[in-house]
Amino acid sequence: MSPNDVFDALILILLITCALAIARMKDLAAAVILFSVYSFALCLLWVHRGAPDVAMTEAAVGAGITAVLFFYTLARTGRREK
Amino acid sequence: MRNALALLIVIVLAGLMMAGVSQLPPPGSPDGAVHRHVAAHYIDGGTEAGGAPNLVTAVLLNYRALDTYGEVVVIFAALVAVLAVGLSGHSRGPRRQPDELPVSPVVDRIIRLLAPFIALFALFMILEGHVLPGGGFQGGVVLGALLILLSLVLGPRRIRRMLPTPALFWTRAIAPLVFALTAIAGLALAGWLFALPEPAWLRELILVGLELAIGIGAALALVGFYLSLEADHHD
Amino acid sequence: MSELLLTTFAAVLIAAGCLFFLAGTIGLLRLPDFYCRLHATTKCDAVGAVLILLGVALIAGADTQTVRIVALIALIAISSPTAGHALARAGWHAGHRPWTREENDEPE
Repeated sequence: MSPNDVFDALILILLITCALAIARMKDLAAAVILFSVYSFALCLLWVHRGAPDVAMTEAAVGAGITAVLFFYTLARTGRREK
Repeated sequence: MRNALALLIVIVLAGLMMAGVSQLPPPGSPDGAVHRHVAAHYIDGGTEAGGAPNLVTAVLLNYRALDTYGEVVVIFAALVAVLAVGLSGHSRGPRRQPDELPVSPVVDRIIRLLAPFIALFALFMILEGHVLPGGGFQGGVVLGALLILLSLVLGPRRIRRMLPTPALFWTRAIAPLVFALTAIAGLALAGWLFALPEPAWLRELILVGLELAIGIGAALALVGFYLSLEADHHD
Repeated sequence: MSELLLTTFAAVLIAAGCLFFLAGTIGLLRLPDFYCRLHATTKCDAVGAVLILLGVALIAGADTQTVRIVALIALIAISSPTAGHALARAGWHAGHRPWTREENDEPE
């Protein structure tokens, strides 16, 4: 495995860990923060794979705006999963 | 019982997907049909035929313009749906003033200092999207994020005043409208939908116009989602 | 020779930046309350990232890349402390009170 593959593999492991944690999390605010982490990791992967166009969108939408919208929704609905 | 059923469905679906995936050519293999015909064609003639040095934009706005049109319509439809659910705070009479935390002078000053740079970056991404990585949607998202940031710091009322309702009515729909116009113009001038007419300057003008429309549409859609949620939260 | 010296210096800067990130992360996990954790984590961005970027700029040398890196450093140096300030202020107004050893209250 080349160093590039090792980097990709590490990011993918991080992505899977984040996804599992988001699914299991009872505190939804923490889940939203983890979702931002997921997006930033994915963004790194896009850049590393040579897709800066997608990475920019991922960073702005996935990590930024989606989190804000989710937080407003949580403020209206409640923070804990029933 | 239900769990067993769900497990069974998951296993069957996963099996089908695995069977499908196993038939695909290995990823990155230069012998795949996709790489020998379509991609090679794009890479050989994309920058000339697509009219944009950035191949991603050439594919997005020319070869796959119909798909992009569909995406733009989806985003616009989502915005219309959100607004139609009645979350928009415009029609509810005077809103109760929430006991807002006054803006910290430090944050206020820093945001005012950084906002022009962020706006410049967004505009640069939109206008240079056909040459460099970036483009209408990316720049529009940065612009929308900037407006949401300003609204978080300066209060949403200021942003609402910046975006008066009558102008919003048409600018929200600008991306699908401009796309439809481009499609018809291509049909009239060059013979098929989304064709880019010949002189290079006209081609570039149309591309920049499309990018600008996508950017404004994306920014307004995101700000619209945010403002409608925000209005309902404080009511 | 000066090449080697430069690279070594850059490596030291990057290592120091990574150390700040490590310390900040440990602080985030181990410290007792909101303000202590904030105190630790703001150093990640404000010092750690700036040190790493300085190291990268040294390796890049006199190049257009360096101009971008310097612009990034300026952006981080401005925005990261502001974010920390805004967080601390929001925490105070949301009712978090600093943890003290005397009251011996439970860390949240």
